Amino acid sequence: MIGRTSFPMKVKKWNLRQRTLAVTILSFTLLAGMIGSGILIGPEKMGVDFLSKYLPPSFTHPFGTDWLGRDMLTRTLKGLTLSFSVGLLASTVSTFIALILSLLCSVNKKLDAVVTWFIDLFLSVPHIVILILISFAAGGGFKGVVIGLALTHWPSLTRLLRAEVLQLKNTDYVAVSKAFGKSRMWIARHHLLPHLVPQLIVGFILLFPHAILHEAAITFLGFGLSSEVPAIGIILSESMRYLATGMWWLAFFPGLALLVMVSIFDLLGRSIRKLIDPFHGQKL
Amino acid sequence: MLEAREVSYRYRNHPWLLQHVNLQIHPGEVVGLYGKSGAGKTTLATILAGLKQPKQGFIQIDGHSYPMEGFHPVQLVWQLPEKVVNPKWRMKKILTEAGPLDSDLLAMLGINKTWLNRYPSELSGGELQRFCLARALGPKTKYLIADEMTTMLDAITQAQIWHTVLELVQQRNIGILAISHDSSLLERVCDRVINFDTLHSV
Ligand SMILES: Nc1ncnc2c1ncn2[C@@H]1O[C@H](COP(=O)(O)OP(=O)(O)OP(=O)(O)O)[C@@H](O)[C@H]1O
Ligand SMILES: [Mg+2]
Repeated sequence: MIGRTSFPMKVKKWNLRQRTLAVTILSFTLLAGMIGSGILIGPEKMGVDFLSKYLPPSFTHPFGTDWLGRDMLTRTLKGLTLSFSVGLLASTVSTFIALILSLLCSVNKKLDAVVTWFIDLFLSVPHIVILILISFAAGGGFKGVVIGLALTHWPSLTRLLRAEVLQLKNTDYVAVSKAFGKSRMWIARHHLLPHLVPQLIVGFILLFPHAILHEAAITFLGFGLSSEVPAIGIILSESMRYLATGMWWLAFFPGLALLVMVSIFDLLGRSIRKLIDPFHGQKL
Repeated sequence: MLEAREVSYRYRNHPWLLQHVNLQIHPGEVVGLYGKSGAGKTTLATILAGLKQPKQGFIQIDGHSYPMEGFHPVQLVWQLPEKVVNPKWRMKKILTEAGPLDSDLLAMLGINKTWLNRYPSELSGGELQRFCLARALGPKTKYLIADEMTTMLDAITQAQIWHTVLELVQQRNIGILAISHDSSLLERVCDRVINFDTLHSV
């Protein structure tokens, strides 16, 4: 404590870092809270209650109830948890694909050209179209959606990592490493990978918003998760029918909750980037 | 013997920089090379160290042509040491990348053991250069190319380092190509000195 006050020059710098740290912890806690409560809610809370149908938001039902008298807050939290698990699977696989492909780019010009061609191909077709095609080809449902999301979210991260890998590969210290007889694998593992870790972490988190929104979108359009699952996309598409009758809360709160979760992920990703890579490069 | 025969090189979209360069260095021999800035000395050095391929001609060691597998027998000490070390690694890892630590060598080059835990950005250029020299002087090194190796050092340290290097060269029968603008330094440490301009036998 005494040490800190005796270095007034440092205070300002610490504040910025602390602020970012606070934002990171706060957004992490919020997300953990949303997902944790979604997991912990038991099936008894999900029950149908015909006595409390079509209730507008109140203290007992903050998000209102639906046409079967189900609590919309509960349904929303369940939906967010599902979105999160879909996002987690898709982001993990996509990040892994991006890493492997970007490392392949460093092997030789031919492989690099092939990977670049695939990146351009995927980026030139509207994302939602390939997503629907792949999900459909993979058999639809939960599996189809996850496969579709995983196979369509790697291109922009791959492009980012590829640029980094090619730049690293041309550094003199990698050339010298080869002159010391180090193998390609050794160089990838020791020179390239540690430089990529910040990008990988941030890229992984920033993939979540995309994956989650895309999942909701194709589910809403009817190409995604099946209608028995409590997904946000399903809730939204079902609620559309009731919008005209003035039951705005059925779509408003679940939609808002989805946007909030997505924004928090975005905030978390950007804060972590600031924390671990403040000047881009330099030691971790 | 390290031998460059009829080596020519040009950077992409640039005129020829090296043309028909011939050069021989024998084991245990210290050869000096001087020339004006931008003449292509560093370029020649990287070609001799196997880091660039010549566009024409070839390099041989005792009759074996490049490229070489494993630890390269010709090691280069670079003009700018901060470019050839991974900025995210500690000095210890940077040193051991080339092989196990040789405490005697470190002591001879005046490398302080406490520097091993630092990052490259926490060392002076001269201190970093000693690490690069230690790294290049592995047990398998047969030839050393010292490209402006001691330019950033003061006269006393410069003399110390060269003293150490020359001692090692004799012990291990290493051949050296010393590149510098400073022809008086070269006259002092080398067996023979070549003007870069005379290398081109156009
Ligand atoms: N990657 C590159 N692409 C294009 N031109 C280059 C490249 N590297 C060096 N050159 C040019 O090649 C020429 C020779 O460069 P080099 O570094 O070999 O000179 P040098 O003799 O070592 O000079 P100095 O004594 O200043 O170190 C210079 O004119 C330089 O601008
Ligand atoms: Mg030079």
